Amino acid sequence: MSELIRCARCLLPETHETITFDVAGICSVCRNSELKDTVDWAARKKELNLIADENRGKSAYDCIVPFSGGKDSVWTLYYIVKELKLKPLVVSFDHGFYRPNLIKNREKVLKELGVESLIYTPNWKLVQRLMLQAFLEKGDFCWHCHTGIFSYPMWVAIEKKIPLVFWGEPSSEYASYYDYSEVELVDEDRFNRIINLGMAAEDMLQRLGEGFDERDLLPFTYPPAHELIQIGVKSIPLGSYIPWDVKQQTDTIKAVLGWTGDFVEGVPPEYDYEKIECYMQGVRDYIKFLKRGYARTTHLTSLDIRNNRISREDALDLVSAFEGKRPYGLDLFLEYTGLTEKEFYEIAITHKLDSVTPVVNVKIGLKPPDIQQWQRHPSMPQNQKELALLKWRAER
Amino acid sequence: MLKRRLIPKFLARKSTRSEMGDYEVCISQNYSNLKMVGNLRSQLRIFESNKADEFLVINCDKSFRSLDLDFIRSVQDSIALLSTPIMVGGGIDSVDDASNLIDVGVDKVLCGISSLNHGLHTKIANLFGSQALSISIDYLVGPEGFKIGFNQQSHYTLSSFKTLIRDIENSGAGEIVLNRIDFDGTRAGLDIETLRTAQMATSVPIVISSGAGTPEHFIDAFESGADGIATGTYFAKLDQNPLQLRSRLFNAGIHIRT
Amino acid sequence: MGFIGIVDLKSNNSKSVLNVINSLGIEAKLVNTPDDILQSDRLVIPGVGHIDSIVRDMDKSGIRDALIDFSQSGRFLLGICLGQHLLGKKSEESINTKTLGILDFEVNKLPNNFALGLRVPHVGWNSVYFDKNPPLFQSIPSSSDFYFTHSYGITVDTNCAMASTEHSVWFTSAAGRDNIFSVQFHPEKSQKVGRQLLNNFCNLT
Repeated sequence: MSELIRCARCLLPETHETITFDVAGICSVCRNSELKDTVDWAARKKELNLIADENRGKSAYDCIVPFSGGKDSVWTLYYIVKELKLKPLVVSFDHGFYRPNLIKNREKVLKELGVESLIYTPNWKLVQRLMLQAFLEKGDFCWHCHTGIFSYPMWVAIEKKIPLVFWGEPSSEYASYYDYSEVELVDEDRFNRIINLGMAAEDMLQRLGEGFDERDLLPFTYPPAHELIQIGVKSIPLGSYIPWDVKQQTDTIKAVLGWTGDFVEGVPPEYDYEKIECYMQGVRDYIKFLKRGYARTTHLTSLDIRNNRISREDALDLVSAFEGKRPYGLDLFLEYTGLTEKEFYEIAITHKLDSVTPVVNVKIGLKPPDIQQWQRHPSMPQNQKELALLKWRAER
Repeated sequence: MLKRRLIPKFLARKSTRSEMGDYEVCISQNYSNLKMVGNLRSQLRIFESNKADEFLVINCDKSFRSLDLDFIRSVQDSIALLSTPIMVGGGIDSVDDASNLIDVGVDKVLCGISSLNHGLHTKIANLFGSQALSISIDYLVGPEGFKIGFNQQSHYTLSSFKTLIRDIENSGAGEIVLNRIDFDGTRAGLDIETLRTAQMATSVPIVISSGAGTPEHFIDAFESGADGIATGTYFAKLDQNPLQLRSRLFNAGIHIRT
Repeated sequence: MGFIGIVDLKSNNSKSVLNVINSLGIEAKLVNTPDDILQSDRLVIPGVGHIDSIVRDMDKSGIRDALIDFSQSGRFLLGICLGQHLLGKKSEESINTKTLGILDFEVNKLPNNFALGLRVPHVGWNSVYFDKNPPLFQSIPSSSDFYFTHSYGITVDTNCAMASTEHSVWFTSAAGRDNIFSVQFHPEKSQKVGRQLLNNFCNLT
């Protein structure tokens, strides 16, 4: 267990993005969640109903719901259809790593709710290169996924002239880029702060070097402001209008829609509802652990601490037991990017924050039950990997 | 209470990819080995979202003696929809250069010390005010003392260095930027010692640049009284942005916007 | 509503203000003739540089009287930074230079304070404090940070003070009475709160 300074109430450490501590040692995320109770949710709900009324029946679809099939987007879609009685167009971005249970959930939910959907799959060869480049540049290989998920639905909104876009939870649930006193717009500012790791598509194109052009990166490019303004876009998280309650929402979608949870690498089995979509999730969390000294178990138990569902001591035990173990998904990641395990650690460690103790003894995590069904996409040609690695090493 | 400034630094040169006169942003080591990391317009937009306190854009194209119109146009396009203070330098050799930049919305021009000799500083300060003029001291430190300038490399002792700084202030500069050339891109730390020397010699604000690599470096420099820190490599090569760094600095007791 | 006039004098960074107001979706244009000034629905006077330069440019353009007439017409007027100084009675920067005398304050040099590491020019983001919810600051919390860059300011008490800021001494960072407003900081360079303030000014009733 590293000696990071953690919040006196939850377990978020000093290395968590944007965290600040007050004189009592309580973190800004905890304090922000206190703000949640002071929000006039009745007024926000009224605002939400107004927005819904303004958009109902105006065009072929009342709104767009970006959808992964995870608990948040399922709850959001459920609420839009059943409560707000809007006709959505469901838009999904296929990052390449949907798990079997997630695909089943997706089908079940969409059929049960009776909605139309689009799914977009990007060029795998480009995705591989982006994964490797982002991992090298920023120690986070999910750039294509972050940017694609948030950009692609906006292009659909423009093309089909559907101004209203409903996202799920507000970021104030887990970081301090925004706070609950404001309605968080899911716009280009937010894209630049939280989503694109400081690299817009144009910038990534520069860093990729040869082989791709602006057209290839269009799905990862946030649309120009004037095009969004032209359709009168309103891109908002549902969680700015109704108080977000993960446990209650998950129970509802399980009971009403037959949504099922799944095992997730790096977290205790009882947390079967978060981040079940992607089989690279374990690797992503492992890298975060190597860089910042904490990962998803800390995040999940901190949420539970704030909601009085677990004590801090019990939470610490879970963190010790489950965090920071080598995930099985790493084998796939190495194939996709062409890296060796040694190179993987070499790259991850360069992004380690200074206050984090390097991991010495690597322990192996639990084996995911569905791992045989995780797709072995074409691996990265070795020469491409070598070139990227050479360039990166030369610039260090 | 006045807050310390985080100033992302953008070394700009004409893009090799685009024919549209676009400018790309680079990072460097010792101000050479330029490696491009993005598009100027895109990067300024991103850093405004991340609440940069100011921008520092430096024109790196060596092919022009004075300011290229393409560069001015690129700066103008890049900041047209933004509302963050911006300082621009690199090749400002005349009052017209300064005027052209200020005209398109640039708040401060950054001049080198060579222009001290022909009175350019004073002319710019008289026309646009001291707050519009920052002077960059680009230097190395060796056993014999300071070597100043990228090309000229004039030698200064500690005493004559302090006199130089006083002369710079008297010429009308509203701010001094201390830029340690051999620390550039190293991420090994900022030159706090020279900061302290300069603080004793001038009453204007001082920005320190080159060498920041960890949050501790920023904390040390701010605790030593740096008014601002300009950095390029730090944000480009790490999963860091000004918003993340700010919180870290705030937690260490630095007066900074959050 | 008509357009917002932004007084354009030689290199007074009027374009920055124009760009920001335009980006708010509000019609604005650069003005530097008496006619254009008097036709403006409301007026912004940006200013950077030396008080002598802005007064000289103002008189060269022959717009002194038009500015005074505008201020007496009841329409809203906002002076920014040196534009604020221009609206005052006089400035220590150049004691004999004839400013407009529209607002009742004088401008003096800011002192520095080395013991506290406070240097002049005052450059950077600093807190602006006000009470009584002035309409110009609607939706902006008191103590919000705005961007300053100046060596002179309103350091002596004035009855038209609206907000204050501390740098060595407390000075008036925003002033106004009736339809006339002035700010020492640069709202066009103060990101979100700055845009909000300019938006507020453009929508004052």
